Amino acid sequence: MEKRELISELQKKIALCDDMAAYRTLYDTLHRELFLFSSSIIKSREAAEEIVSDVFIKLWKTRNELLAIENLTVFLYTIAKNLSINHITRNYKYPRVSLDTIEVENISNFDNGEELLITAELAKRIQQAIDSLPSQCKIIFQLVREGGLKHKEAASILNVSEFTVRNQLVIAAKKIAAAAELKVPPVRSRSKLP
Amino acid sequence: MGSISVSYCYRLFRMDKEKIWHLLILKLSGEASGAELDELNELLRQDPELAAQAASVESVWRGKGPVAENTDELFNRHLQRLSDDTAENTPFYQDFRPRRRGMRWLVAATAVAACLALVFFLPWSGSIRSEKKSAPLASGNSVSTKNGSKSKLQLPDGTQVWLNSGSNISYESAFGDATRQVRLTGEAFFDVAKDNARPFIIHTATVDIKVLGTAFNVRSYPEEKATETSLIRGAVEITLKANTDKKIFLKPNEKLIVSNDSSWLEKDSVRKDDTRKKPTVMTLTQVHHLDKDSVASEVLWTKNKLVFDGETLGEVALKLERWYGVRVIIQGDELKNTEYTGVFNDDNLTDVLYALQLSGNFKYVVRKNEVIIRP
Repeated sequence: MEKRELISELQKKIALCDDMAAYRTLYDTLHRELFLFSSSIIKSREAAEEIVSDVFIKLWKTRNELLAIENLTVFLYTIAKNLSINHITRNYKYPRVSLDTIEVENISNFDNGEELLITAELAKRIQQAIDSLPSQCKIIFQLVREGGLKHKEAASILNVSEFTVRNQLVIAAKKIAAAAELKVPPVRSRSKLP
Repeated sequence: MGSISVSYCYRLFRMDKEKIWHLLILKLSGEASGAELDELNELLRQDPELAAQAASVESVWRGKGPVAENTDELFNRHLQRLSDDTAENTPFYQDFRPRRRGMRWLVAATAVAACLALVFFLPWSGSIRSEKKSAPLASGNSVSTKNGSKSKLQLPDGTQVWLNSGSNISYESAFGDATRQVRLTGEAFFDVAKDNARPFIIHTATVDIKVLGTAFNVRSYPEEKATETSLIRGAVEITLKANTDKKIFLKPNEKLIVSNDSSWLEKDSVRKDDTRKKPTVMTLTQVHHLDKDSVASEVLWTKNKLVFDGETLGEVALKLERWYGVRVIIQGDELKNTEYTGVFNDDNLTDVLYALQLSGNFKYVVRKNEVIIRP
């Protein structure tokens, strides 16, 4: 079953039947990406784990109203974002609460799968390229790539336009391409991309 | 002139490059249309250098990090926090918190879930019965259909109601003053006249349905196991009599089935049964179309078509009794669970029985108003 359908199926089961098995499946399906999302904002694995747990506690406590929620994934991400930002305001001496200015720990990782023949050296360079992306760009990259979210969904979670989401992804793609470029021996330098 | 055209070409060239990046992102995000994918392929074909870059971005994008992991420990930690959290608000819950630290959490969690689900309904178990006693709508108008007959009526507000056989609909004389409330036993299809100021509410033994201008079917026969609400268009809000906190909104083509049986709420049976044996209280599903583009099978009866949609012979018998106003006796319990699917265009009883009997493994005898089915 496709992830989206699965989630909406589980949403109904939890809302209608207090189905704990469905709750567990939903947890298994989403906790990792929510964890990555939260820990990329607050940079603490322990705290991020707690936040994900709080997100799911909130989900369980509001299960009676759950059917009215149109997009559960966006709903859960939004709770995770708010809890993460609350965490920062509580725990930092000089809180910076805009996602643009928070430094994001990189947690997007890639795995050179079978078809991708890249050297460890190249992998490291690509990872560095992802690491060095601006915060917002990095979070968007992660939401869309790791979380498989639609641009519209990522935009709604982060309160930005879909246009911004797409532009930030283009920036990320260009950085990755530039890092990977040396793999292909340059025949002639025709154009430098901006 | 020459310089203008060069910079023009360069701009075009750069625009193509930008376009490729944007299309690539759409593709990787799974948001590109077929036309956009074609355009991307075409542009990449013309630009092998960028095609190589795009390919490496694509393989980085698709190469995901580790996925499979065992979440048991994580989830158990989460359950511990959930139970601590809920315990503060619901005293009941405390009984189910583990007394021994080393308790196996998954087992405990299932128990907690079961109890949560059950306790949820317990305080309300009495209210169903009391609800039946007080029938405040009885003082007004009432329309009944006998078995073997159907009826169509129009309510004072213009709402159309098709009443299936063996059913009753009633409403008070105050109908339409502030709200439009009716009480239903049996099955009816409603095409509700839109009026946002006066909500239309249908009371059945098991659920209350609040209508927000719409067409839908309600099936709530006391002798059947469940109450079904099938929404054809518009929107309805359903409240369970057993738990008024639960509000369920249906979207078009959705169908909600709620069990009429409240006996499972009894404490004793709860203790014995494990969670998996717990009867399904509610199911949200889709209305069923036997053919594509046809009317949903749930409302075909309004077109005078008798429909069996994967129904057991036991259920078929109940329908036949109401539809033809006969008594159907099935001799032999093993026959009762065979399922039948079929649509009959207002055929007579013997035609229907003959057709059923062709696909089933039973014989039948029709005597006056009685049908006997036996192996």
